[in-house]
Amino acid sequence: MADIRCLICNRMNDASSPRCWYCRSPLPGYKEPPAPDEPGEGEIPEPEPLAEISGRVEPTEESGESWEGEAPEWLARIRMLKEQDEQKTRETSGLDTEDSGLPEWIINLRAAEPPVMAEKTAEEALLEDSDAKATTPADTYADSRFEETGGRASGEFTGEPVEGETTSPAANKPFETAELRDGQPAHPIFEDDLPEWLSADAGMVETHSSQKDQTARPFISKEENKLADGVLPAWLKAIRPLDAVSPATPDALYSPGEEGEGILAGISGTLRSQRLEDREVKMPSRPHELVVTPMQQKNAELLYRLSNPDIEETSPVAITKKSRPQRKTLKIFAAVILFLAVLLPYGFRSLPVIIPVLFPKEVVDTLGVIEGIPAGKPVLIAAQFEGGLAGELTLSSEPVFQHLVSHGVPLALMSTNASGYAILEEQLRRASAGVSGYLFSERVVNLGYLPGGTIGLISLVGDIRAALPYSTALEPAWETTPIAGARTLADFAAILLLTDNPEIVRAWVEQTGRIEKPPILLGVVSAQAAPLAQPYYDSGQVQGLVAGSSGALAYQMIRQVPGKASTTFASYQFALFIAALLIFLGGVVSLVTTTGAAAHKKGRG
Amino acid sequence: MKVLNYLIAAITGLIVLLGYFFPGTGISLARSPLLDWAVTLSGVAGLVAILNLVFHVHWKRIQDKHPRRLYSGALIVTFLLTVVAGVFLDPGSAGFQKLVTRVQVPVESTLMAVLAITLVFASLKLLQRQRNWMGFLFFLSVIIFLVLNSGVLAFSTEIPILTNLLSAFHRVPMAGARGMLLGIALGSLATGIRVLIGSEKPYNG
Repeated sequence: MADIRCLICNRMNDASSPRCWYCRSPLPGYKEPPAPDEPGEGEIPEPEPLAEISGRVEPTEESGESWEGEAPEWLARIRMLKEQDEQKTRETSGLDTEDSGLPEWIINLRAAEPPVMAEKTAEEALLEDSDAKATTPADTYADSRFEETGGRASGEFTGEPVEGETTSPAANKPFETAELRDGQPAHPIFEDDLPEWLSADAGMVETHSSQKDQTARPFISKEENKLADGVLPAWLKAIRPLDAVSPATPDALYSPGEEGEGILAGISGTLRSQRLEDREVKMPSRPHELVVTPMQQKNAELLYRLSNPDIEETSPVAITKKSRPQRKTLKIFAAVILFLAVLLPYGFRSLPVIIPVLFPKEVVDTLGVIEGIPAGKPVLIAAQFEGGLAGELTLSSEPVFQHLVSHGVPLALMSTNASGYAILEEQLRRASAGVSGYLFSERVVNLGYLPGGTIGLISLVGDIRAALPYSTALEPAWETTPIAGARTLADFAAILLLTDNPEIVRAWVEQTGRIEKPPILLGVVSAQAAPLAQPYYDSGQVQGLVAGSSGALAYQMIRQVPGKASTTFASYQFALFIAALLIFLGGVVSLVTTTGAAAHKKGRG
Repeated sequence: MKVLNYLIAAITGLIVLLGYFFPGTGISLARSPLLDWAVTLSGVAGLVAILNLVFHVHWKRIQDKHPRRLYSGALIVTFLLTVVAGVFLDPGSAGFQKLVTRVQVPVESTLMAVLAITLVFASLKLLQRQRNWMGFLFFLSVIIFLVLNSGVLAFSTEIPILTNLLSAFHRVPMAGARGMLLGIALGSLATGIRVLIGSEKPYNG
């Protein structure tokens, strides 16, 4: 069977096909069989696009004779006038009759392929035939418009716009052919029609078009171009969606007749949905799995246990599972041991205590600074610590306070947290209680709480009188005896800082460091803050440091004055040692038991 | 509004910063009232926070019949009693200070004691959960520094090698502390610059 070349896409099709397999355009030379039932007079022929959707490839019109026989006289007259007009246009433009109904871009495409166009001899006749019978919706619309405009015949058509219509200048021009445009060989795409961004590269378009003209698709042979119906190329088959492999044929999806049931009952030409039982479900060949490394799993379990502390251990690492009563017993045991370690030294004074024989240099320096304070020059004691650490700081600061009180140094108290100044005053009262002749109210003034944190400190260093104008007794603080002569922070002999937070030490070091003659900065810190405060002492920014119970004990020993530090140090030392022993034993037991359990489990497995 | 916030923060920060570099100038004089305002504002902010905690959070719990509304009631009653005591006895009176410290210090100390026991108990099972070299190193560090700080190795002064060894151990936390302090300083500097250039806006809430 001979092949027919499509006029639109220039591909070869089987001669028996009414339309191009590729672009669905009508093929030349195909004689359609007469339709079983022709549309009646009152019926409107279905437009071609809808006919394609419904799957019925029906001729939209019969042959011209049959139409003329059934069309009314006025329509026949219009058609005749239209044919005459088109004939005239063909004669003037040299184009075939079929081009008049085609869009401009198709005409250009065809003009760009002269070899193909040249061999259309039989095709021309076919197109004439198809032109005669092709009444597209556009033609119908044109006909109706023709009637509305008063029946101007095609012969009377002057190219002038219809009244009320606006036409572009391009529309007024006679139909240009690709070959004749501007006397130059035209390209399939007019450069005038290109968008701005593409027209800037018009040279490329021209080159591409000219190459296309010369080569005329040399790489696609006719045999290669031909594909059997229903056979997809390999690349298209690989990427086709799941719905495409449905066993349902496309024709089965269409409803040529009326729907018998459902909400679409009585409506013809509807699209049917695919039945669910016929749908093919494509199973994923590689189901997604969450791949977790052992370390990630362990971290996730740790996080889960942190957020759910009541949950028992489920980790494979923790092989030995202790029940809740066992854990509780162990916790009580540890608490009792620690309590005993704290309390026993108080009951049994004969317990051995190892006293440090070397005194830390920072403690010695603190004592030396206080010894060197001139008489009558005040010392500012600043505090910021939590109430929970007040006990440790009371012990640590007691020997220093005793030393200050015994020297008769005027003191000003303040704190940068809300409760610090109250605790501080109480500590100082206790320390001064043992010193005879020390009048607390005359030698000590409480400046209270300075809010603002570091900003408050900046303000204090800038103008201490403005920052803390009143005492806690609501009296003008700077008129009281202890600090009457002080106007700035530099007028203080020293600043003694009590804190459990190294950040506070840093803030004070930074802010007092910008004074021209900064006062001496001393620190009494808790044991937990000592490592971070020590570098400030090593660098000379803090001139003295007493850290924890051991520092207080050293201070007492240097001064050779009895105090609480010496009595509590035994308890402190013993408790620390017992805690270290407990942790060591617990670690060893854990190591042995978990290793044994793991080996046992491995042996069973 | 955000632009206004940024402008206030940046200009104020620049004035305070430049006041350090140009003492005795107009900028330095303008800095002092700004700092005073900041101190006052932080005090008011603390008051607002307390009122919000008492009359918004805990009072709402009572109204909503929360299961723990009893504690909220205790908190509100205690707060009101403290305020009344502070008004009638002045904040500087020894009686009022004892009233506060006799409650606050034991409560917080108790919490610290519970924390100590919990930490010891958790340390007992340290090697059960972290059986790797980091866990083992942490375990050894805990024991060594507990023993060192307890002072039981004071006799080491008679053994030069042990003295040097313990001295080296004492230096380890110092080295770590210096590194941390450097990191804190650089972090503070970076944060200050970020606030000044508007990259960080802690004031936006």
